[in-house]
Amino acid sequence: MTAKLAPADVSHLLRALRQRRTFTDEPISDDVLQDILEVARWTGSAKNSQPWHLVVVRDKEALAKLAGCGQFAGFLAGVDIAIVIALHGYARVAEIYDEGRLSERIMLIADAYGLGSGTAWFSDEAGQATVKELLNIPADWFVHSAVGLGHVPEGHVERPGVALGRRPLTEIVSYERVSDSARNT
Amino acid sequence: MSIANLETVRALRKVRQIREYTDEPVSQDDLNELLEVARWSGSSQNTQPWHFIVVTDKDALRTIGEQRPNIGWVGESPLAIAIVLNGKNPPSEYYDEGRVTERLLIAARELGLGAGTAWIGEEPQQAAIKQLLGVPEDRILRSVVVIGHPQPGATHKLGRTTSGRKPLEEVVSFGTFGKAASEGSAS
Repeated sequence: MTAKLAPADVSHLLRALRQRRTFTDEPISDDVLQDILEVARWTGSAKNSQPWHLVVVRDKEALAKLAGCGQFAGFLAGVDIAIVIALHGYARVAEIYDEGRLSERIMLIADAYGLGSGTAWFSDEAGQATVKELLNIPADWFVHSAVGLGHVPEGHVERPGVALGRRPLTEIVSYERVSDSARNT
Repeated sequence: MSIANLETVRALRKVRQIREYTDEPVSQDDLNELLEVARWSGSSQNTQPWHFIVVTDKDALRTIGEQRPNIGWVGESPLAIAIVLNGKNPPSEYYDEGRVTERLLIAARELGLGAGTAWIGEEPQQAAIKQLLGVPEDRILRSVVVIGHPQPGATHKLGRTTSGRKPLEEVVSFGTFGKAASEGSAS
């Protein structure tokens, strides 16, 4: 077990992560990629099923094609690496939860290396089918997201498509039972 | 990002589920930090599709632990955070539930605590716990993150599963599915 961190250090690290969608041309080193994949590999999953296969895509042409496979995938055209997450598809509801855990780790370790990352979605079936065909993923697997990674331009501020910030704790937390105000929101 | 942070996050590899706890309660400072970490988790379109219920009542924890044969350990824990999802877009919310859970597990470890996830069960069990915790019927509650001070020597109880992970070659391809890095398609 590592030494206990001060609570403020923990929150500093975990709160700072934000989605990035704009990247430079600088490549991610193989060593860093290897470490990211290693952290991903150790992600927990339901019954340790590890219901995933990760396809690392760096080929620019392939990235451009992936970018066209979903409404929220366009930024993949400008990433250095896309890690496409293929799920077994046996227990989709549980696997999507595990996929969220896996993605979160990839984004956190990328952030620790000073890289930016964002989630791309292949939301409709046609887009998913194209991704599977493009990457040679078996048809019975389930694919609907990828994590895009790259170096972030210095000083670049991402323009979010949605409102930033988070709702206050008083709104999202109840103690012991759901508060009356939360029931009505 | 400093080296210290890098070391911290590299410790991600060592984050494991802990399901045995001492009687020591989770301090309010640590709980506040965990909730702040949860609050700042990313979610699809920043919808923050969740509400968190902090459960410390022993009877409530025991009742949660009675819903499935494998989660009795919840009843012996000092605290659980129930993750209530809005239920408006379940597939996307399940992904976000996974993200916030992972952050809580990591934060707990970094605070010197131990944490584990417990699945409440099927619809009838979920309905019972929703009623217990006053959760509106149209919301989803299927998992809790359980947190406490780890018992000395506490380890992940394997149950029916095996520990360890598949080797990288088995879970990663480069360029296209099934292609190894050595085949040179990654760049």
